Amino acid sequence: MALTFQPLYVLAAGGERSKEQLDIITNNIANVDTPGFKRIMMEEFSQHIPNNRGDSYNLLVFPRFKQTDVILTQGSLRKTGNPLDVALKGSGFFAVRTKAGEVYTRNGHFFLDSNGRLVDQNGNPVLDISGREIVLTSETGITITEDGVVYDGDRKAGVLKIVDFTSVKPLGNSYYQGVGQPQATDAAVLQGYLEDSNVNPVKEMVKLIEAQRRFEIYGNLIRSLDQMNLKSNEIGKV
Amino acid sequence: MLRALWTSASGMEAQQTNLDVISNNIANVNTVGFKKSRANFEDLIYQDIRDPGVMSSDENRVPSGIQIGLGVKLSDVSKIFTQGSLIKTDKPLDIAIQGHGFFKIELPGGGEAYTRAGNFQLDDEGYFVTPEGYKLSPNIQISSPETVISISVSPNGKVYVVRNTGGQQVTEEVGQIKLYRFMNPAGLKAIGGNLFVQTDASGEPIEGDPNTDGFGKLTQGFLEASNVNIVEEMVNLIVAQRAYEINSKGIIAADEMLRTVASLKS
Repeated sequence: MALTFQPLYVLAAGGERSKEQLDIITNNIANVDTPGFKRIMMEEFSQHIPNNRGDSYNLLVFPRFKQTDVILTQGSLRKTGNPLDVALKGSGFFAVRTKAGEVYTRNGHFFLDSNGRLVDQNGNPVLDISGREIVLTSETGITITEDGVVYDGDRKAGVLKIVDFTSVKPLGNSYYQGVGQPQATDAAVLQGYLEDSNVNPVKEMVKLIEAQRRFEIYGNLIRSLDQMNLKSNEIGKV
Repeated sequence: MLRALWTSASGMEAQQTNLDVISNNIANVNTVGFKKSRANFEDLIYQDIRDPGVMSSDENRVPSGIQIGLGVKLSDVSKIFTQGSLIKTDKPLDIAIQGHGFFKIELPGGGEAYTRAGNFQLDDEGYFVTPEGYKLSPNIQISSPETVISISVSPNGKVYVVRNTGGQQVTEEVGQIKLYRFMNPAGLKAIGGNLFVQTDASGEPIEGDPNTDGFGKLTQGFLEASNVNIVEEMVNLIVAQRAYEINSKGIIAADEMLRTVASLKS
């Protein structure tokens, strides 16, 4: 058997993947208490080494990073009693206007700013169905119905824009960017609730153990291969 | 080094702040007019590891993007101005607000602050003052307090005294308590001593008489208890502590991985 280094690289690639897995898991865990946070899943795929020909083509495969998916399952709803906390039950996002354009969030921790505009926690205006800001006269007597209509006392102040996407890209600050065309949704709006993060700490801990052990296994295999190569190297010695 | 180390550290830091906020709420469970706070979090920015469509080899293309989040940060600690329950004290100068609004208080050395704590007293000149001795604004003064038999405050803020002058009981109106509300009460800044000051975020105070235009009504002989719900805070405490713990496990896992790396070369 000739000296072979290729398996070393395959194992090293596996080590990289488990390191990235750890990064993603710890980010999920760090956001276990972030309202409207959606957990991120790492997807891997195996890839043949393109230059291998013959039977060995089927042997060595690199574990590659395919993509990160945002898992949009519903988080549990927590009652806060705050009239400007709103949660979505069902799929969809609130639309918020930022300097960088329209972004989407499920973190319904809203405020009124000093001009009476309905804003999110970063002070960016929450949009109504026609893309306008929602202006209210006071925090007293605000009613938000299940279908997203915002009443200021008896006056209808606007209808919250709620749109859905097949997939989204996380931007940070609880914002997401939609991929593809926005779609209508029948999500229910709940006033006085916040949606908890959909991270399940038990599952994340299990994945954390898995990532760490996987990394150790790659490490052990690299060491064994190194030993084998060392022995092969000694064969020719007198 | 591993990104995961810093990500987990950001999680621990966030939970530590959460714990600070929760313990302050618990410490003020019996503070008159206290409003609980809540720490809110949001995710940090994401690192784009690989953009979609780049070549992964001569023949293959990465099908879609990869983004790794960098942890969590505190977005804000906001006050929650829900109504606290009313406690009967029978003291004539204990005034609770049922509904929205704040009392305005004159700070010593100029400036104004706002409070929900209505445990007033009379000072040596007969002014309505807070326990710290700050005057209620607009000022309400009761002259010659020795002749006063009783003080009453109506739900719409009018203050009356009944005096005994020359054997006769005379009722006299001495002032009107005003209430103030804000567009965004969560934007008020707490300065301690149950007091809040206005900020750019809260907007200008809107003045009004109690029991009109959405202002709360005054209830004499009652105090507004803290709106801290001790059971809820205990649950929050458990959540914060456990979240802190699992974040620390992330650090341990990252650390052990680094140890594995170090042991690769014997």
